[in-house]
Amino acid sequence: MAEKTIQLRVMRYRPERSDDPFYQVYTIPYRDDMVVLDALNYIKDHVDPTLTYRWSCRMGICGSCGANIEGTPKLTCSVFLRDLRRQPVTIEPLANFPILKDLIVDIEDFMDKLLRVKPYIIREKEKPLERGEYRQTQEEVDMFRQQSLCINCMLCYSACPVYGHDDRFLGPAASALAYRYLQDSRDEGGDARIAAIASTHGIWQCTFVGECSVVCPKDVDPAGAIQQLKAMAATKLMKSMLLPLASR
Amino acid sequence: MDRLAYDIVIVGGGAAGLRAAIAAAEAHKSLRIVVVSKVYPMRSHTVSAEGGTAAVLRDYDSYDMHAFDTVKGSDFLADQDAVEFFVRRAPLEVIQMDHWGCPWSREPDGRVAVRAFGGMSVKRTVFAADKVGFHMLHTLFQTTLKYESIERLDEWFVTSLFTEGGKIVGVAALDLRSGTIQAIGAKAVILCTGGAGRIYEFTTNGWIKTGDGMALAYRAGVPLKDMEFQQFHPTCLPGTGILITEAARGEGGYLVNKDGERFLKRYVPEKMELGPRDILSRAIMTEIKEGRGIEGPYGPQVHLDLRHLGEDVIERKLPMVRELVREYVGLDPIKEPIPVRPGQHYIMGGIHTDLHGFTGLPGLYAAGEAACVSINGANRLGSNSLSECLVFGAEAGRSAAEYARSLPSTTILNPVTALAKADESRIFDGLLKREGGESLAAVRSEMQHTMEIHFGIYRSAAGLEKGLSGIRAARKRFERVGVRDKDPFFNTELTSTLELDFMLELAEVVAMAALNRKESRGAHSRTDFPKRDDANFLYHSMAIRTGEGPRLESRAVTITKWQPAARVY
Amino acid sequence: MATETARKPYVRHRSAMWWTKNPRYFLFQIRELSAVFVALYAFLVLYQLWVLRQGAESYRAFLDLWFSGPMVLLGLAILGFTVLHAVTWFLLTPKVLAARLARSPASSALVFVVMLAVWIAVSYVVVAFLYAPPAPVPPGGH
Repeated sequence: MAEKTIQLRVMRYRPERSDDPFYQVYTIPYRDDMVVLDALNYIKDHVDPTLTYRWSCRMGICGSCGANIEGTPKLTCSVFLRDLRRQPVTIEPLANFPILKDLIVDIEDFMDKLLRVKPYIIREKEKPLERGEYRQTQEEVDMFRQQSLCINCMLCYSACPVYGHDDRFLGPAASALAYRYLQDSRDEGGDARIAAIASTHGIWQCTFVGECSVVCPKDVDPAGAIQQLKAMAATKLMKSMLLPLASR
Repeated sequence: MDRLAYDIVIVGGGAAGLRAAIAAAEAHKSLRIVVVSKVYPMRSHTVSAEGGTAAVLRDYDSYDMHAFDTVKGSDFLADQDAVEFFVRRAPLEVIQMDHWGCPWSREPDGRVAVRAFGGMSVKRTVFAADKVGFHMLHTLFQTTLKYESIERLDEWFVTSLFTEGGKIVGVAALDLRSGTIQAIGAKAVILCTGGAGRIYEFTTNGWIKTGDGMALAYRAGVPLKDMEFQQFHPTCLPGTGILITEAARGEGGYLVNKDGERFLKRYVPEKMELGPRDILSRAIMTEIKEGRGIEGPYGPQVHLDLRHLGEDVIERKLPMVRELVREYVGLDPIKEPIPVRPGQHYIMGGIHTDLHGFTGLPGLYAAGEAACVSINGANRLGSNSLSECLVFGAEAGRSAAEYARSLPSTTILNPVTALAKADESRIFDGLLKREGGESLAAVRSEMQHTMEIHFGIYRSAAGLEKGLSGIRAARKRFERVGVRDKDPFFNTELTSTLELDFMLELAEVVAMAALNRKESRGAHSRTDFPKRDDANFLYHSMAIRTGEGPRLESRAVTITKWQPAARVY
Repeated sequence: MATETARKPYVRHRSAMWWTKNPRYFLFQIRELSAVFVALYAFLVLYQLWVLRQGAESYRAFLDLWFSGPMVLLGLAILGFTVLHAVTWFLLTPKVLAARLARSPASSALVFVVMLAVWIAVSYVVVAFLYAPPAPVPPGGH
């Protein structure tokens, strides 16, 4: 009985071989429980050791293994080959990011944006540790819990046509993180953070396509977070214009 | 080669490394600190931890209780002064994490909630749903962004540690995104590179857990302590090895065999599913060996039954468990039991340090899973590891900061640059150019398979001897492994080769240490020496590198309050 | 010796037909396009008012144009786009509301239904007003 095989068509970028990316097709043994990452590992271990990609946890929590699979940004560790209908399966580096080598993309732009939203608790005065934790009800935790689940996999940036058009856009994950801190009852840095993101290339560049929330593997709903940020920023502006003293 | 120099170089950007960075930054603003990690810090394996972080936070709890649970859990091999230090620092670390924004799960009154965990006599495990490692890592990483003095070198793979005149002067690292080796001068280096689960075939660990820091310290002359003690987590998904947290049992889950029996009543009748991990893993293997395992597509297994917890509890307290089981096993834990079997998870052993994170080599510190203080002894209690990363990460950061401040601010770059050039030659002229005939994947598989068969839950002299030769054979084969990707830029075949080099070295240490410990203690179970032998083996094994392989020495266990007693649950 | 590879990251350019790649992108483009038709309708109504001011003669000419084949088709297109515009707007509204309000799928659905109901109700009132039979003239003139 012939062994079942599967064909993968992987985009390579090897400037020492050619100026432009090219596709390479691999045929490998197929098992029903394989995910795309298993296929890539098989290729690297047994067929072509030069194939380069990122991965680590293999359980969808580290965010390393994003790639465009059949045109959709996904985590290679979470996509089962048996669920893919077409062959050869086309695997490309995450869209909207510059390619460094093979499936490795440059995510430095995202790392800069992360910094810009001040993703840490800002307080005027810290309570001494000996006096214990900041009390927070589970309902208060639930206010930001969803957006705190972002694994920084950047599938959302790949899905976002605005980011694809203009990489100055702050983007879904960074915005969702800003929202996460703004909604955290322990944080007092609202003004500084909103000022940082309510700009032309901040949240206002979002046109609510919503694809980011569709591809997010952790159900963070960055699109929803950005719209609420818009409402918060607009409300804040209105308040500061109508009640200039009160908004201090 | 660029000229880089810092006061403190931290290798590894997980919980321990990031905590150390913050502690050093807070110790003194003028210190220049850099976190050098082979992956972006958000990818560090801390991220996959699920269960919780233990600390004494309630009136019904006490330092002595936490310490005793830990010491007993360690099968009395833990250094009790370190344990006492640890339990006193853990609570403030948990509060600190709250202040930094960690989304701990809460009690109705707003306090940080606690849950039961294996081997803990009372509820003291703080948690964040079942994604504690993820939340802690992101909290720590995002908090480091506040400090201007903390820089990062992301996707830089440290290849060597350098000493001059008996003290640390820096490291060499492969900058993946430039494809060059760089010299980094340092007054102090803190190794926080985690464990080395990838020496095994079936492990919960991610790809990056290759023991780099342990090997680096070992090659620099620092002893590796207690390397024979490997923790096998009782509940891993068969096939993938993905971890199903102990918290599932902490919330009330049952382990059942083929007959639907909660078999732990025959092994740990008092604690049942909340017994310590070494005993539970052995229990499961025994059930399987005696024919009461359940046959699955990946071999024999047992079942973890959560159905009686109800959908509400599972959704609130164990959502990621449900997600993982649905995705990777294709069943819903609220309706069906989860197939599980033991798998390698954590190394109790590691780089020898004192309770300040100091290795003995001036300027070199270590913390986290990479280090062995030892608070975990022969078996670690679940949820102590994340607390350990915080407490000893902070302590190592502070110690390194104090040491760095004590040194004159002369530049120490020249010796490092020269030493790094030698490393560059070793890697680019030597390794990268090697054609070889052996396949990297084949040698790695051989090592992993040997470890899995001979250095698993049950060990015996014959198996250990065979295993040691197997590892040595693999090391010889490694010398003929070639690197086929000749492009130095972002070459993961090259880094995998360097990692395998590290792992083979560590595997041999584990093998020798296991062979030499002729007793059963904690996670090290020998069928030929089934009893604990305090008279002859109440010591830490210390492996020191020599030209002919590891030389084993012993180091006394520090006992303060609790004399070794029978370990019954 | 390691060679310093002069490494140029490869920037892929997004195709102009990106919006044909999946149904949601396509819907997005149509949604955005619908605003043009809504605006067009607003201009038509303004034009209608202006023509009305010019007198009965020009208004009758306008009505002839308005009920001609092509204009009816345009009217139908405008109706279709406006409904799409409103429905997509109502579906997105829960996302903009404060987190507490739009927490569950149930409450989001409720917001949508309420907005739809209000829209239909207002439309009914406007249409009823516009097409109400004229008030009978009392005997004896105005």
